[in-house]
Amino acid sequence: MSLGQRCYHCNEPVPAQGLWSARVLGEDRAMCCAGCQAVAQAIVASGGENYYAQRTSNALDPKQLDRLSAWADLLEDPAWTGRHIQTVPCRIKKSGQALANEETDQNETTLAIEGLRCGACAWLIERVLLQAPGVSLARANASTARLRLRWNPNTTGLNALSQTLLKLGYAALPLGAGQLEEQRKRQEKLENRRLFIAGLGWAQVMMLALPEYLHGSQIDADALLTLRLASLALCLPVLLYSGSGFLQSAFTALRQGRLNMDVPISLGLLLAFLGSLYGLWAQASAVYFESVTMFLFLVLGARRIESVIRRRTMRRREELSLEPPVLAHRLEPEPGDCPPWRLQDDDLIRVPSGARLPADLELLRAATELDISSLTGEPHPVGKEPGDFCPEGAINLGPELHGRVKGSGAQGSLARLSQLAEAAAAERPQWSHWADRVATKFTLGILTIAIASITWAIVFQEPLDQWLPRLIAILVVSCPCALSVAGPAAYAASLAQLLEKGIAVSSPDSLAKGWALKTLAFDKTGTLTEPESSSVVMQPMGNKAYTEAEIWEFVEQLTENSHHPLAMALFRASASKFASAEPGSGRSALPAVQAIEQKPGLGMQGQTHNGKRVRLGSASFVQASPATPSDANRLEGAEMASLYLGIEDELIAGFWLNDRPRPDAKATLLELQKLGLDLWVFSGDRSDRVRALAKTLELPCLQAIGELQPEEKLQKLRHLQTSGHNVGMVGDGINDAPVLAQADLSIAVSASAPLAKQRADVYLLRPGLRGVAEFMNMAQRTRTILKQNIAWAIGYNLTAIPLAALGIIGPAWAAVGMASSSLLVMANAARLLR
Amino acid sequence: MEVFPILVGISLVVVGLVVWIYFRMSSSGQFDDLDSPAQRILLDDDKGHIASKHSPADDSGKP
Repeated sequence: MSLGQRCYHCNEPVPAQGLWSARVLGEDRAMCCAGCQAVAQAIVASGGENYYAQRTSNALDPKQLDRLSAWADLLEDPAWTGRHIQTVPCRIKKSGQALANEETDQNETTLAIEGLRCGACAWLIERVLLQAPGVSLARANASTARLRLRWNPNTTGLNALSQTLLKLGYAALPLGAGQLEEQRKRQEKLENRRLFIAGLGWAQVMMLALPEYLHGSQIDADALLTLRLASLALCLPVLLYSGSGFLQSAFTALRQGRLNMDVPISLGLLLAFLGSLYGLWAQASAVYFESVTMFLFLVLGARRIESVIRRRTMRRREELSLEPPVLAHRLEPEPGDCPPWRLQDDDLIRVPSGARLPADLELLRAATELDISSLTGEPHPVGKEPGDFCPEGAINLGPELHGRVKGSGAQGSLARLSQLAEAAAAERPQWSHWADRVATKFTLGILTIAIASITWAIVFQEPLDQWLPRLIAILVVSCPCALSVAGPAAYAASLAQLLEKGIAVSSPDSLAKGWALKTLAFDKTGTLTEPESSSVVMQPMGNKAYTEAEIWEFVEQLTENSHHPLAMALFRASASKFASAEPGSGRSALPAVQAIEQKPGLGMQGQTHNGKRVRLGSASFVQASPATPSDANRLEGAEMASLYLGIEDELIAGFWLNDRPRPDAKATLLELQKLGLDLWVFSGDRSDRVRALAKTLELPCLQAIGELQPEEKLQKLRHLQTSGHNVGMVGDGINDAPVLAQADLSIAVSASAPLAKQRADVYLLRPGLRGVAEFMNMAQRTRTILKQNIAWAIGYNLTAIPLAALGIIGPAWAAVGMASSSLLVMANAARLLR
Repeated sequence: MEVFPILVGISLVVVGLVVWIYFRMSSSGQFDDLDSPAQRILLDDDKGHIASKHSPADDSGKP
C-alpha cells in the first residue's frame, strides 16, 4: 500500500488502496471513500468528465456535504420561498410562440453553492442543470459561489434540483438572495468603478502633462492654459468620484476626533489639488493634477488587492461556519423530530443536555443554565427559571429541558442563517482596528513633520512654489499603506491558506498567540488516539445476573447522547452488536434507564427503573470501594479493563478498548518538536496506559502524565504558565473544556464537542493532527513576513520622508515610491499563499 | 494652433465615452465573474478533442 496516495476527486488521503475507484478520463482513479466514488461516477455519467481535465481546485469532500444537505428542505418551505423566489412572466416571441422551455411563468432565485470553487465547477453545474427537465436558466458564478436559477415550477422543484447537485458533490444552500449579498455586490462594483476611473483619469492627465514635463518653457501661454484646464476638467471628477471614499472617511474620523490613515491621504490629495488650482490661476511654474490622479489610482489599486484577498477568506469562512440545522425534538402537537423551520408557535419541544436550542423558547418546568456565548459573547453560563425566555442558538448546559416555541421556527432559522453570514462579514473591524492604531500614531508624526515644514517656509519666507511641492511630497510619500495594508494582507493571506488546509482560525489574533507559544499540551483520548478505530471487548463479571444483551443495552442507553470518545466507541460497539444479532438475541425489553448524566472525567450515571444506581466508567467511579476484580485480570494478560459497568456497588461487566494513536500523531509531534516546542500529554487515563502510548510514539521528549482529574489538568497547565511559558492545549473539549479555556491558545480537533469547536482559537476541520503542525508552521511564517514588512515600512519611511522634506523627491515620484512600497509589502504577504 | 483646443476637447469627449461604456459593462455584470466564462468556453469546445484523445475509435477526423 502506497501511503502517499490521494483521492483523485477530493485530494484527501486514500485509506485503503483498491477499495474505491472510478474510471475518469480513460483511467481508473483511486478514491478515498464511497462518497467520492459515487460523485465521480455521477459526473462521468452526466457527460461532464471534462471537469476533471480543466478544474483548478480540488472538489469538496462529499462527507462535508452530508451535514449540509438537510438545509435543502428549507428551499421548499414557504417561509423562504415567499421571500426569495421571484416569478418571471413568460416571454412571448414576436411570432407569438413561446420561447422553448419557457411556455409558462418561471420561478427564479439565487442560491449559495457549497463546493463551487472554480470555473470548471461552474461549467459542470450549468451543464447538468440545463439538462434537467424544466430548467431554463442556470448561471453559476465561481467568484461568489452563487447560482442563478430559473425553472418551470410545474415541471420541477428546487428540492429535486438540489438533489441533482448533491449527486455531483455540491450543496445548494438557502443563502444568497439576502440584503447582505446585494450590499456586498454593490460595494465590489463601486470599488471596481472607482479604480477604473482613477486609472483612466491618470492616463489622460499624464498625457496632457507630458508636453509641460518635456518642453515646459517653449509652450506658449494659451496652449499651456488649455492643457492645464483640460487636466483640471479630468482631475476634478476623478477626485470627487474615486477619492470620495477617502475624503468621507477622513472627514468622519476628524469630526469624531480620531485620526486614521485616510486623513494624510486626503490631506495630500486636497493640498495637491488646491495647490494646482492656485498654480493654474497664478500661472505658476508647476501644477500637480497628474500626481493627484496617480496617487489615487495606486492607493485604490493596493486597497483593491487587499479587499479581494479578504473577501475570498470571508466567503470560505462563511461556508464553514454554516452548520447543519439543529433537529428539533417535538413533543406536541405531533411527537417526532423535525427541522426547526417546521416548528409552529406554541409547539412543545424538548432539548437534550448539551444540545443547541432550535428555536426561541419559553422555559417550562425546571430551571437550567444556558451557554449564550455564540449569541452575545457572554462567556459565563446564564441561569434560566421556568417562564424565562431562552434564545434560539443557545446551548443547554443543564439537564434536558422542555420549552414552548415562541414565534415560528422558520423566522428563527432564517435569522440564524443571516446572522452567520454577518458574523463572517464582521471579520473586518479587528484588522482595521489594528491598522488604525498604527495609522493614528503614524499620521500624527507625519502631520508634525508637515507643520514643521510649513513653519520653516514661513520663517525663511520661501516662495509658495518651493514649499508647496515639498509639503505635498511629504504627505504623499509617507502614506502609511506599507504599515496598515501589509499587516491585514499578511493575516488575510495566511488565514486563507490555513482554510485551504482545513484549519479554521477564529481571529487573526490567534496567529499571534500561535507564534508566541513555547509549550503545547495534548489530551490523549480522542486527540492523540483514535477511539473511532478501537475495538471493544466485553467480559461479564460478578454473579452474571445480567445477560450479554442486557449489558449491551445498558451501555447503549447510557452512552447514547454522550460525546465522550470512549462513550461513542462503546455506543458504536453496542449498536453494531444489535445490528448483527440473530433474531431472538436482540434487544430485550429492558425498561429505560432514567436521569442519565455525564460526570466529567469520571463516566456516565443513570438510574434503572427500580431506582438502582447504574454507572459506567473507571473502576473507582463504578465501585465505591475499589477492589480489583479477580476475573478481570484473566483477559488480555494482566491488563485492567478500561471501563466498567456497575449496578450499585457491584461490577457486572468490564470493557477493554485498545485505542491506537492516530496515524499522523508521530509525524506531527516530531515536526512540532523541530519547531522548538515543549510537548506534554495530559490524560485522565491510567498512567501505565499513557506511558505505553508515549512509548509507542518513540518520542523521549514527550512528557506524559496520566490519572489527572479535570481540575488537576487545569492546575498543571497553570503551573506551566506561571513558570513563564505560553502554553497551548490541543483537545476535544470533552474532559478538558476548562483546560482549553485556560490555555493561551486552544486547538480543537475535528471530532470535538460543539462547545469546544465554537470557543477554540483554532479548529481542525479534517480528522487527524496534521493541522496542528501546519498551523504552528504557518503562524511562524506569518511572523517572519510581518517582521520583514514592518522593517521595510519603517526603513522606507525613514529614508523617503527626509528626502521629500529636502525637496529631492517631487510629488510625482513620491506617489511612485509610495505605491511601489505598498505593492512590495503586499507581494511579500502573498508569499504566504504558497 | 487653433486646432489644439479642439483636439483636447475631442479627447475629453472620448474619455467620457469610454467611461460610459465601462459603466454599462459593469452594470450588465460583465465583471462579476472573471473566472468561469473562460473555463466555459474551453470546456464546451474541448468535448470532441478530449473524447478523441482517449478513445481513438471515435476519431473520425472531424474538427
